[in-house]
Amino acid sequence: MRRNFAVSQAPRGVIAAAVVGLMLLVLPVLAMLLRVPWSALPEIVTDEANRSALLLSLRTSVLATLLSVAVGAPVAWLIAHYSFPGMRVLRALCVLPMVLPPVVGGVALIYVLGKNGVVGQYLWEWFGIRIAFTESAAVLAQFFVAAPYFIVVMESAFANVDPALVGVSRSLGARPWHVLLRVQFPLVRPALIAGLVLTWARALGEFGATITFAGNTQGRTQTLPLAVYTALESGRDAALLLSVVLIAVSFIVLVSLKSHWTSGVLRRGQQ
Amino acid sequence: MSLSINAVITRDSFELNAQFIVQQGECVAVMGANGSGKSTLFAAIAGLLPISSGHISVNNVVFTDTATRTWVQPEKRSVGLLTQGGALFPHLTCQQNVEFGLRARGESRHSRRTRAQNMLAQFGIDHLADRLPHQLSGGQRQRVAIARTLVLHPVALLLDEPTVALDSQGRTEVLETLLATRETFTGPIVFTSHDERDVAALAQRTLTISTSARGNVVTDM
Repeated sequence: MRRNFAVSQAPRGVIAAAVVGLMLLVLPVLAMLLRVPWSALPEIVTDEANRSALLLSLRTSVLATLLSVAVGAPVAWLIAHYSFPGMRVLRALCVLPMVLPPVVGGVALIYVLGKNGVVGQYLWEWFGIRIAFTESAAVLAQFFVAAPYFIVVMESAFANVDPALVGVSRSLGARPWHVLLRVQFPLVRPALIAGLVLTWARALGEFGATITFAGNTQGRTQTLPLAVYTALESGRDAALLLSVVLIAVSFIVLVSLKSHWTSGVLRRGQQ
Repeated sequence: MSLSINAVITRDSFELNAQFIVQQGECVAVMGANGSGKSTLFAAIAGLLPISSGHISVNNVVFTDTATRTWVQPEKRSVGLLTQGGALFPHLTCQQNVEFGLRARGESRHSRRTRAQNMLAQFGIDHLADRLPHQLSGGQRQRVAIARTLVLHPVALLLDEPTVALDSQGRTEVLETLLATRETFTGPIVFTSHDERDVAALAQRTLTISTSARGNVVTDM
């Protein structure tokens, strides 16, 4: 569809600024791709340690995203629907991990779930469960850093659902669960998808909190970003190639998700 | 058999004192300036807003009574609430909109489909069944919303500004539908309107919300 010419004519300077923005975003990736020693790619990809890092990354990032949906969506719902004294502080605390250096987040997680942590000591004493420096820790670290993005997106989406629709559904005989599943969720679907993509992307690239709370054990907690970091210490080539793998995986997933899901949403919207 | 309200409704710093009875089969208009509390009144009757004191009952079923701490959830009140603009679910077709309440009550797919189709046919809008709300005119939207309410056989009808923001054709369509509804509907009907013509056409009685410094009052005493 061609847009109306008058509407789509860019104000002076906008295009120039956009070009600068695109260069700042795209050039680093291009520059890296130019320097990649492609001939070493098969060796890197078939390397056992790297493959396990890739699989671990995919697994933990997906789990962290699912956890964000399972408990982050309810948090967003509550923040969007209730107001009580202290709510603003609570909301700020929920999104605090977005501005916190991830390493600090990792340290905070150790204080909670580490062997001597506030909760962790009892998990260890009573159940013999240790979380820090396990794969679960990698999932939680990614969740801690990525879930706030999901919460922020979903909170504004829930708040934007017309309250009259919720009231009318109740009045038509729908219980709160029915309203949530049949009215609110379908209406926030586009935001849900955007939130999922954003959250997963953030979880996949997570580094600081993971290395602090989960450690960097090859085959156990060494996710792909950590493997890149480790490879960087021994030489650039392997690190570059691993980065390319990370970029390729993210790119394929993001593009396919976006075209698959958002096209459905767009079709609906245009009907 | 009637709608009976004697309640104080507070919302932030705003207070509405409502005290009236609408008989079975009676159609009453509530008039009042913008912001005088018409929508608030309906929200309280439908159970979307708690009252500060007093009671509301329909057909001797107490919906809420602050003295006995009675509170019936909105989904159990079976009140037909038509909000401004119809509030159709934008992601559902007209047919699905009309089926919504039946589905919430756990009615079978076949039964709710038939009932919704019959309802739409009765209103002469069955050709719109598969359309989405944004493909409809304002008058059509409002009629689907009325059908969605009536298909559930509500005990009372609350119509908030049923003809507001409609063009003249839409207004005529909705008024005709409401006149026909008034003939067949056996419960109490309350509607709000700015438009004297609607009131003249539909209402058998008019209540006016009076505003004062001590709070707004609507009463038939």
